[in-house]
Amino acid sequence: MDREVDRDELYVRWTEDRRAAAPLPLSEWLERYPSCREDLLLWTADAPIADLAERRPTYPDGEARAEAAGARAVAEFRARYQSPIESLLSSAQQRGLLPADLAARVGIGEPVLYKLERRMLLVATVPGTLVRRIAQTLAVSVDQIAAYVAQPPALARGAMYKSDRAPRVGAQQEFAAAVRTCPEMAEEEKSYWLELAARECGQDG
Amino acid sequence: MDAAVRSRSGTTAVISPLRPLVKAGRSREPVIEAQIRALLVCSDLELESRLSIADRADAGFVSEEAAVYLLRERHRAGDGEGATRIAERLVARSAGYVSRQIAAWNMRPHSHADDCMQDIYADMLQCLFDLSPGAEFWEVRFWLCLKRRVTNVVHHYAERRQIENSLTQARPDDDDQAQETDISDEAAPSGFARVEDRDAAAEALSQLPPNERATFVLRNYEGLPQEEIGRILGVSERQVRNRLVRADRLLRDWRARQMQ
Repeated sequence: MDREVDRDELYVRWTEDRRAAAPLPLSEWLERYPSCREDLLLWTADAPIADLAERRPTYPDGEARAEAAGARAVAEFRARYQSPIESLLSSAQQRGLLPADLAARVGIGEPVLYKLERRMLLVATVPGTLVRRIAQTLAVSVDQIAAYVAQPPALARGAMYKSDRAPRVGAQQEFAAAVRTCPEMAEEEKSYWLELAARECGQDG
Repeated sequence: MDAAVRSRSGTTAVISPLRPLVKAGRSREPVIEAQIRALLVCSDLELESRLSIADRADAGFVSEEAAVYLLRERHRAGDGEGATRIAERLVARSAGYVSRQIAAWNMRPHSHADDCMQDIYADMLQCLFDLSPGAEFWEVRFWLCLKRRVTNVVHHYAERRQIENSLTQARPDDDDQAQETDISDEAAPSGFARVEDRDAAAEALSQLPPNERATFVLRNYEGLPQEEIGRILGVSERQVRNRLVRADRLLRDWRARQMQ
């Protein structure tokens, strides 16, 4: 299964092969790495332009503009990575993502996402892969997401409680249990995450 | 193997082995490992000084891969600001490369090019500060990892530009319409399709919509027959021929505009 093929490593191998005396045909690459088909076609189609760029000069103020663009990216990066996350869903909203979008991009069901939002999952049972995907999707650091989910559980936002007693947060749940009981995840998705949870956190798949 | 090195104070210190690469089969080049070991006992000032050396032939030059290792070690140790300063150096080092890539795509107006470059750097920073094994390849082949990110980002900007310039965007049903001009595998190609002047053709390729560009490159750069192109792209041979006709027309129009 090449689902987890490292794209960088594949790109390096593909690039170096192109320079070889007898490079592999494109069809061979597509056959060996079917899950990377779109990437391989993109690299092939854009290669003449990328190769040309290495031989041509930039426009007159190009390098200065690139440095300025880089400086802006670093400044944004500094600001973003220094502040604690207040809410996964708010961070997603700032990037124009609805909860359903965030859930879809990281590959979990919305109910599981909401449990993460409220820190209702035992942090030791949440796979690092999920934390990284959320960090990458929200363009924040893994540490920020990890710090967020490690906080105590929270009440549901906007929940109205009609009770004589103060509302209490329910008990936290294992990630694997949340996935197993999620009504919005396909069996294939569940198997994927349960397998990861078993591998990364020693949970029963 | 532990390395015994002389510290700034003159006493001998033993430093820990370098953090190994997680994924099997990966290794750092010996020259990069040697650079890293030397830098680990540098003061911040010395490190800053060495990172600003641009001449690769200079004995004090620090490779980008070594810089990435140090950046990740500082980040791992919680020194976010120290890591970010190294990132700034990598931005400065790569500015020429990134701007040449953008120039090759003829990205206009400048604001689009600037936004694209900022997105490239945002992507790069995200990768450099990602401590998972998936991102460690930047410590092995920095420039190719960057090149892949540049390719992805500029491609998406170019796609967006094509959508905005909808006159050149082929409608899906155009692909399958019968064309007056047919292109067989043996037919003589037009001036651009001949790709004898590859640089001129490559410069023009950035103007093509993605489908036409992919088809054109597979035909004229990879030398594939139309039947195979259709199989690879999941389209009929007629669609392949129609895309080649459209690509040819667009490239000739572009060349005519350049000559005015």
